[in-house]
Amino acid sequence: MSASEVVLGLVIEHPGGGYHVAQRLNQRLASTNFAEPTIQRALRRLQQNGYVCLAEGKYEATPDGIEHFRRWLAASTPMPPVREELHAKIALCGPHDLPRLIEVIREAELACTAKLAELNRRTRRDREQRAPQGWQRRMSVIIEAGDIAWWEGRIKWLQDVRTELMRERDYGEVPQDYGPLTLLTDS
Amino acid sequence: MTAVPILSLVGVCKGFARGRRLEVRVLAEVSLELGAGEVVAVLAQRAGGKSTLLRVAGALERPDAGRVLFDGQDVWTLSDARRWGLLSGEIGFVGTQPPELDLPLVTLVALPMFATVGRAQAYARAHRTLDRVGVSQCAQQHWGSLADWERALAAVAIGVARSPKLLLVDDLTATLGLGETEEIVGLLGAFAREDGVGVLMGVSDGNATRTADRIATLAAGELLVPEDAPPSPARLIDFTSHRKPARRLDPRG
Repeated sequence: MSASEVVLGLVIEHPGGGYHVAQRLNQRLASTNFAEPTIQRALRRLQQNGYVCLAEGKYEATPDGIEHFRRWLAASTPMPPVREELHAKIALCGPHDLPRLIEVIREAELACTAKLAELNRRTRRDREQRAPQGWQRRMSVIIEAGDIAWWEGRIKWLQDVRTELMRERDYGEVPQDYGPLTLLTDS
Repeated sequence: MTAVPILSLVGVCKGFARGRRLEVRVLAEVSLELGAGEVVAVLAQRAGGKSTLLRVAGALERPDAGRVLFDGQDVWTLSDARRWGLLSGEIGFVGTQPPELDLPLVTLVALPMFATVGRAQAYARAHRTLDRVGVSQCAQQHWGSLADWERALAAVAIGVARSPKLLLVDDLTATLGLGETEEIVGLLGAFAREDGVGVLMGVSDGNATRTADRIATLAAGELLVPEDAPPSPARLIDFTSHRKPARRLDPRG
């Protein structure tokens, strides 16, 4: 996701300086973790393209900017790429790699669970500080659910992988003619 | 902070025989501590061992190995009468199973308290609990006429009416929508904070972890919890080491 359209949408909602736009972005889309310099760069880019203008220290959307944002909102969303290193490791591992790979998956599962817990804590803290109501509250529940679903899906997939690999480790048969990786592990 | 956790599981193992040659390992040396006022969510797949964990934690099922301590006491060294006492008061269960008796909701909530506080007091408490949970309007309705989310709230009312110290919640929100799930887990969090109840939830839906102080995951019998969990009233003993199943039998027969 590019920061530009998100920043533009926030400026359309409320004109403001770079710092305040960054603050609002992190409240509204906490999981994106855009750094403030990224937001500042996005604002400058939007200004160069004529989508926002700077007036009395505040960025405001231009009519072209509003039109560009509407087009972005209505456009189809591209599929996110799935290029996980873990996928490649599983695809290329051999029976002798299973004990270590199970450990790696356990570590990944713990890391994802920590992320989910952190997300929940941040959401609770934001709610206490900001307490959005009405439309914003309903939309924030949906966005949070999306973030949670992402981590939940990841955790459940890792659980499935761990269960299957542990079964292979404990009950699986090692093929007699298993190839070069086995030789490397044995040497 | 309590010195003694409400619940401690120490190296708990539980397996079930499936056919002649297969043993399914559901809990493998699971260790967990839960403090008063704390909410711990255990995220697992459907049929991932959540219910077994909760039944073992609630002294309904004896582990094959390991110890289950309630308020510092090993529940399986207690007399049957004392253990039954725990189950009928200090440990509350909240699940999605429909009640066995077809009675008005207020009676379902009051009935388990008849013997301990008398009929009138039991009804008074039941009405107060239904009001607190937010389903007082359903007091005279029967289970079959309640919506899913009302049933979930009613199950919470049945679980908390006797003011338990430990509440075990079994995938209560699995079939509910986002807003309803948020309401239910918010309610459970409020019971933990306001009444000091230790809440252990088995969940298959990540949204149900929203109010949890800590999240653990359960798969292949192993309970995992991140080490960087924030300071909490209790400590969770991490089980991350490689362990072999108790019996190594080939599930492929």
